[in-house]
Amino acid sequence: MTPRRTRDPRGRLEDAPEETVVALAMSGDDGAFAELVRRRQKRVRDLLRRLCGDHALADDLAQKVFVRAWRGIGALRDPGAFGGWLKRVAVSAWLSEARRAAAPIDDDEGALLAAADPAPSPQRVAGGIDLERALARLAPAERLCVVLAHGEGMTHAEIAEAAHLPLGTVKSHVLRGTEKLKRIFAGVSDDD
Amino acid sequence: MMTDTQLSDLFAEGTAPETDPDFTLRVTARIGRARLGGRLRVLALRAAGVLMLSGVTFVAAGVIKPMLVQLVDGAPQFMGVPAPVVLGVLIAGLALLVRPHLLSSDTSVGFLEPIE
Repeated sequence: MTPRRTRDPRGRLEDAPEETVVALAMSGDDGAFAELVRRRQKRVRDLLRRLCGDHALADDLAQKVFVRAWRGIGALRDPGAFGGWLKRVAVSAWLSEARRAAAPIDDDEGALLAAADPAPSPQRVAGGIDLERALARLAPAERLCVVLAHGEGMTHAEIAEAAHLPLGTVKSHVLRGTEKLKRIFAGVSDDD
Repeated sequence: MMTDTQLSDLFAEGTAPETDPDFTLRVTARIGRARLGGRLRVLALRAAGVLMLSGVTFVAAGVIKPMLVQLVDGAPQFMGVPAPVVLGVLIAGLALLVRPHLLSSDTSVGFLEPIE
């Protein structure tokens, strides 16, 4: 006797296109939302780890981001906009956390260097230089703009909207932050 | 000096694991707690509403009691019960029937909905 095939769409969630899963989650399907968490957790955590420079804090923040997303997903109009919207929720959560931790989003590089985690993370890239540690040496606003531009592929206008910064400031931060990053990597390479 | 492409390549890899069932479970647990908290808040609000309504009813009953006594004393009786009391009980019963539908968050469901 062959088992009856189920018509339950949740049985095929893993294979379903993201827009379908988002639409199901928007209608209150908890299984669909869990599937979205499973699919998006790495990107959200990577983004926040680069912004925070602290894995534990970033992962805790990522959990809060998904809870916020669960609360707000019903108000999302276009399921195709989920990825960008989730990114904005993550940036907003990091900005709130930075304000709460009394770390102003300015160009106070000295304060940031003092707060940076001195311990290297397990995964190292580019000849032993850890990207997260290098990013931690940028000022918060520069780091945010550089991560969103290079890591998330966002345009300057999109960054300006997500970070609530003027477009000119974003362009300047991306340019200066990128140059600083290159200098950081070049400097360490010279030492080698 | 590093090129833009090399820099972008650095961002291609991240430190978070590709799959992490524990993370998904932790998020699900947080959502469960948030949902429970929301339900408790709604319940507390409703309880507060009922308490306030009871308080208002209690005070109002004390104020209008003398008038009611006068009304009942002179009123005709229905099966030994003063007619205003019978009417009051009927109105209160109808109000209790209607109230849950009016307070319900799902306004599209209920006997007040027009039948097409």
